[in-house]
Order: sequence, then C-alpha cells, then structure tokens
Amino acid sequence: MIYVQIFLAFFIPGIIAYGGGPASIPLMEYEVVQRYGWLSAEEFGEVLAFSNILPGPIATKMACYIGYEVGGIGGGVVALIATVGPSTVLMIVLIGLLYRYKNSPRVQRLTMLVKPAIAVMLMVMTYNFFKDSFYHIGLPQTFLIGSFSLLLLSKTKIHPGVVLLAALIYGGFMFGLA
Amino acid sequence: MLEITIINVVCFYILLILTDLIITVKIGVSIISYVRSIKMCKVVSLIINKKLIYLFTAFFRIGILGYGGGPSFIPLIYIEIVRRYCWMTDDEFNNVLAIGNTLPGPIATKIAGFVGWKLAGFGGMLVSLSALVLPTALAVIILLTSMAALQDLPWVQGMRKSVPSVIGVMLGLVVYQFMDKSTKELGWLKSFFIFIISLIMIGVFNIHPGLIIFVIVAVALLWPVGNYEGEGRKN
Repeated sequence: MIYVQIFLAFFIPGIIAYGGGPASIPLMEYEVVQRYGWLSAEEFGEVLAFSNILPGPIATKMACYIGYEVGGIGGGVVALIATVGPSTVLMIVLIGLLYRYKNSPRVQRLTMLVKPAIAVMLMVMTYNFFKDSFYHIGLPQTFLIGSFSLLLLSKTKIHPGVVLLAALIYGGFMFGLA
Repeated sequence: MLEITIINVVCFYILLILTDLIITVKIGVSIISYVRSIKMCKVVSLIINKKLIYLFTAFFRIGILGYGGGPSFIPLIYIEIVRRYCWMTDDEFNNVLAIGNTLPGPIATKIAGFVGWKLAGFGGMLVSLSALVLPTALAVIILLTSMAALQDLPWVQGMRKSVPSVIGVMLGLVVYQFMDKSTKELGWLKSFFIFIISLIMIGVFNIHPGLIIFVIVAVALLWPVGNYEGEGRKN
C-alpha cells in the first residue's frame, strides 16, 4: 500500500510537470508535504537545498531520497521508477514512431524546421546561465572564466569534464576562500 | 563533525572519478585519451559487446558532472553522445530535444533512456538511466544526515558560482552548431524567420519553448506535403 502511495506521489508530478525537472518540484512538494505529510515544509526545503549542492538530476535525487525515507530501499526504487519511467517510455514510443517514418517528407521537414526553435531555446538557457553567473560573480570574472573555457573547449581537445573540474576548483579558491 | 563531512564528500568524489577511470582503462582506453576528448566512434563500433560498459561510463560521467540540474546536462550529453561516441547524429539529437521538450517530466533522463534504448534495447535503457541517476541519488541518502551544514561553507558556495559561465559557454557552442547547420539546410532567410519568431515568442511574450516546438512539430507533420517543402506557406 505504501508503495502505491509512493508511486502516485512521484508519478503525478512527473507526468503533469511541463518544462523538465525544476517544474516538477513544487508539485512534488504538494504531494509529499500537503497530501501525504511525509515531510514538513522545512524538511522538504532542506532536502531540496541539499540536492542542489550535489551534481546530477535534481528531481530524481529528491524522489530517491524521500522514497527511501518513507519506504526503505524498495520505496526509493519505486519513487525513482515513478519519476523517470513514464516520461521515458512516452519518449521512446514517440521517437520510435518518428524513426519508423524517418524517410517521409513530413518527418524530414520536421527535422529542418524545428532546428532554429531548438537553437533559440538553448540560447535562452545560455543567456540564463550567463545572467546567473553575472549576478553571482560579476562581469569581469564571468568574462574571464567564460573566455578561458571557450579557448579550452574550442581550441584544445581537453575533455569538458576536466574544464568543469578546473572551474570548480578555481571557484572554491577564488570566491570561497578569498 | 564538519571535517568528517568534508572528508566524506571529498572521498566520495574521488571514488566516483576513480571508478570512472578504472572502467575506462579496463575497456582499453588510455588515460590520455580519457582526459583529451578524442572521438571514439571507431573504437566503439569495433567493440560491440562492450556497448553497455561504454553506455554506463558515458552517462555516469554526465551524471556526476552536470551541476544545477536540467539544462546543464544538455551540452554534456551532446558532447559525449554526439561528438565523442557518435551514437547519434546532430539531426537525431535535434529531434530528441524537440520531442523531449514537448513531453512532461525531467529532460535529461528522457534523453538518457532513449539513447540507451536505441543502442541496446531495454537493458541499455536501464543501464543508461541508472548510470545517470543512481550515483548521486545514493549520495543524497548516504550523506544527507551529515551534510546539512555543508551548504553554508564558503568554499562550497564558491565552487557553485564558477560553474554557470562554463556551462553557458558549452551551450553557446551547441547553439552555434545548430545555427550553422540550420542556415545550411534551410537557407538564411527561412531559418532566421523561424529563429526570430521563436525568439520573440520566448523572449518577449514569455511563452514556454515546449509549446512553440510543439506547434512546429504539429505543423510539420500535419501540413499537406506539396511540391514545395517550406514552412507551410499558403498558396
């Protein structure tokens, strides 16, 4: 019974939240705090803050932790499946359908027409990242880190993960200890 | 107490990176090519039976490097899946992003699940999803009790501040790729037309990008196919 509740609590935010993980968090809070009362609002905020400082997808981290708290290891697994499963299956079915007809002129037209819109979407995200960076560390540092990583990413063959790690260490020393 | 927590976290990270390194070396990739992001398409196609291990390491890496959820995974997935392993072409990645954005739910796991399924069926889907999600989900469970104090540490906050600009640059490079390809396929005029329209819709009217992409998908699929393959211009 508890597994059914856990499944529903994470299935509903996963299937109605539009716009990726961050959009599902308020809905998740409603289910977990208001409806089932597994956590208090403060505890939920704590889990959210903590999920934010570790890498990895945020919604799944939260689901796994809350599921585990409520129903043990089985609960964690159920919560993960409920968060990730439905949208993944839907995705595979739809893309599979698209691939079956990939030679049809309509699907080829779709691939071409949607590209500029995807570029805009990614551009807005890029803008938000830079805005975030500007807000936290100011223009000179944003420019410095940005141009340095642009140089490394486009002119050398260093793995982007290494660039990210270097930025993490730089940030820790520069903005943390100074 | 705080020192123990910090040591825990540092050890955890070192453990994650070491695991990744050991797996990489075990499947026959040198450490130099691990640090340098060399195209591994040929290597991967030669060792088909080790596809699952490659799949695991790729998404494992994406999962532990993506900082800040959601959008920060897109450039990492692009670099690993399209550039490094060639499991998808630019066009396929573009379609996956389009469909992924018109569907509800977390975006990174949708892409991961699909890539795994495409390469190795249901097992591949399970492998890629768990590689992406489990390492850090387990970390939350193991470390939460001792880590509440950690988020207030200055150097932890400092580390988070330098990441957005790097992710921004990575995403900007992906945008450049897409624009470049798009203008070659559609021509300057049409691609800029769609580009400007969507920019106004998203930037000025604050319409959710998923909705715009959904409309384009619907028009492209439903509009009658004539001899002229344009953006659905009326005769």
